[in-house]
Amino acid sequence: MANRILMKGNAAIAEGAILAGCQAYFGYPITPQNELLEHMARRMVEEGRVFIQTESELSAISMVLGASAAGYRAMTSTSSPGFSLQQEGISYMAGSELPAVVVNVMRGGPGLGGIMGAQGDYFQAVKGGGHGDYRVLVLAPASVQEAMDLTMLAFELADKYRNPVIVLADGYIGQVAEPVELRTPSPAPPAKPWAVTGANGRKKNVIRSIHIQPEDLEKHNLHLAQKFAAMEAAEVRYQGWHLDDAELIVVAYGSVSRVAQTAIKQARDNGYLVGMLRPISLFPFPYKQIENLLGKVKAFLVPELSLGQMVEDVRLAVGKAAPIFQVHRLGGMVLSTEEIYKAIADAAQEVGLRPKDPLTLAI
Amino acid sequence: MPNSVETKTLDEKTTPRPAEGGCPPSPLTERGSGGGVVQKGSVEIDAEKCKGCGLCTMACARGVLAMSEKLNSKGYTPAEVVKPERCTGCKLCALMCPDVAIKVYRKKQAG
Amino acid sequence: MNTTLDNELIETVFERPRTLTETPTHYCPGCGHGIIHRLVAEAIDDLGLREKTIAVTSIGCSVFAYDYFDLDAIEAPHGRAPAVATAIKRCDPTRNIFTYQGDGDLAAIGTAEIVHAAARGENITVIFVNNAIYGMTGGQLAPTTPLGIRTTSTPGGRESGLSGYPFRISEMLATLEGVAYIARYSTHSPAQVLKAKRAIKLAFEVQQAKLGLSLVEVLSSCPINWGVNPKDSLDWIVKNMLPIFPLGEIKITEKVKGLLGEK
Repeated sequence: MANRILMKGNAAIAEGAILAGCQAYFGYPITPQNELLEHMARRMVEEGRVFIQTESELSAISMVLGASAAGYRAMTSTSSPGFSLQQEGISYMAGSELPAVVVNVMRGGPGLGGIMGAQGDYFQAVKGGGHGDYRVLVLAPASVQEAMDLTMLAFELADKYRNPVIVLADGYIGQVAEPVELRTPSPAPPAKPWAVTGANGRKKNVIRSIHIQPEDLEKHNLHLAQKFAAMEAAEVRYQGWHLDDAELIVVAYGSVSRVAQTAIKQARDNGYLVGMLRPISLFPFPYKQIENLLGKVKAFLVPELSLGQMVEDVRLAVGKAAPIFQVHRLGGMVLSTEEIYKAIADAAQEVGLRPKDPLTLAI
Repeated sequence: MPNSVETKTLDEKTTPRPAEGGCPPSPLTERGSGGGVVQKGSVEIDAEKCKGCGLCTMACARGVLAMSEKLNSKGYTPAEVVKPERCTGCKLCALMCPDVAIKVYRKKQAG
Repeated sequence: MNTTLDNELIETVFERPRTLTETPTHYCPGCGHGIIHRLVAEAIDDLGLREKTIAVTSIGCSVFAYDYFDLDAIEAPHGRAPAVATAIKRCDPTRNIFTYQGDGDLAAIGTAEIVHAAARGENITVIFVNNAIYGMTGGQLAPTTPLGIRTTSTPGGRESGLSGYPFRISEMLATLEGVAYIARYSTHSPAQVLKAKRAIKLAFEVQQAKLGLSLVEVLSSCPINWGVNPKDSLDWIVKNMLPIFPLGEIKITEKVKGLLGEK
């Protein structure tokens, strides 16, 4: 019998980091992820690892940069306003080729916004909220178990690519409590001969992102581009549900996908051939997987807790091949199953999809 | 509270300068066996590293250094040793050199 | 060659320290950075710390400082060097960490980071180069620019009504318990250079003894942006900076004094 305990998403992310061998955590309190910082304050100290509550998110991301440069697995967590402050640090780490895990438990925005969950930071996380040409892997958990698992994966991928990885949860995933199986601790990370540890008997290591000659900076950017291309090729993650028979596909991530699941089940009970493609990696986005559905899919529905940000990536994959419908809640309001169900039904009607006889459907 | 305030600065006008025609021997120089003055230190200036800032010529109290008229490959007029015999190896020039262009030598003490 | 000396036993009494590379610096003629880099390198060599030292460089004219030190180095975002240094030191307290920051990096954009690193009593050493102006970006106002001084962003001379007053961040940091040693010296004379060297060396010893944060502020010339030649820039320090930034020990705890006593 696996070791399962009831945990909040925030705590699961924290514990996942510890299982992944996170050696240093630096964070600043901000709702709705304070439990993550508090869990780390207790557990990191118990484990004899580094914990600092910093004076700001600026300082926290800079500390992650420092610990990472010295070869340690390091992480910070924050919510949307703090995530804005950390964009510079993320850009620096991408430019300096430093691994890092940055957790953003999204809340309503823009500005100070609200403290309830939202999905308004998709553009910022996925399209790069910091300056310059860089990409970061973005992982979006839809359950507390996944929050733990993807955090552990984030450390591995950060080291694999020497690049920051963002765990993008919404406030509801951070706050909900679900049973979680505690995974086995990750294996030790690979050696990091590039780290700054003191030039003991070797040539000095210098970690920096400035390349003042444009020819050098261009070369560096092309080198990074190769890395990003490798990430795109290898790290697409998604979950498909009823993709084989669906005529209407819901594309949703995070807590919205959970609500959508219930709505889809109800819709299928009523004879609609609905499925869901749930991106787990927001970068790289599962464009190809969506393209593969074109032809038999008559419509897409993209519910988001935002004005519609992921929908643009769906549109890149779908083009004009099928209409894309949207349904939104904003400001920290949640989409209900009724709202998503109604959106499915309305979309189906728009494109002329009739519910099938439920008895002929596989449930 | 700070316990020392340095208000004196190097000033070409107020720094003691050797008299024209040379000084009588001071404790910093020795008498050689023939009665003549023997220099105690020497400096070497890397002209290519020098940026011609002139701080060494101000630091030297004995007129050993001066700014050259010649250009180095970077277009600076470096400092040069003009009165090597007056060098005592005091290192003040090297202390002030921002480009570590000066090496200082001294005769080892006997015994 | 030193063939000017008689062919007797001679010794080298001054040469490039091991930790300073041969790379010619990009600093202006007469810039204090060159002197201060050398003092840091000398202190590291005197204490045998090179192979466990990590330099945290910052943003300003010294952004390429890592080219001039034979040390592992990490470039920190503007103002964040004390945070970067904190993390490295916490992860491995056996390392010797220093930040090298100008007055904009430390006392403008980085004010929070230095205050909190000091408040936490991090065992790091901060080398604070104060030239009362923003050098790298072409001579704008700095937090330490004296009143009346013309900069490119105070073309009529700094006026308190518009641009506030210069402030002494070292004295402010000295009020924090986590700080073990703060001193301010200068580069305008060989005597001050020697005092700065001794202070920097002591600062590293404070770190080795785990006594808390150590900071040495060094007043430095910026001839180009002050609009004076290198020799006159030394007078500029005396005339314009010393009245605001007094020299000497600003904070020295009993334990740090104890280190001195042991010599």
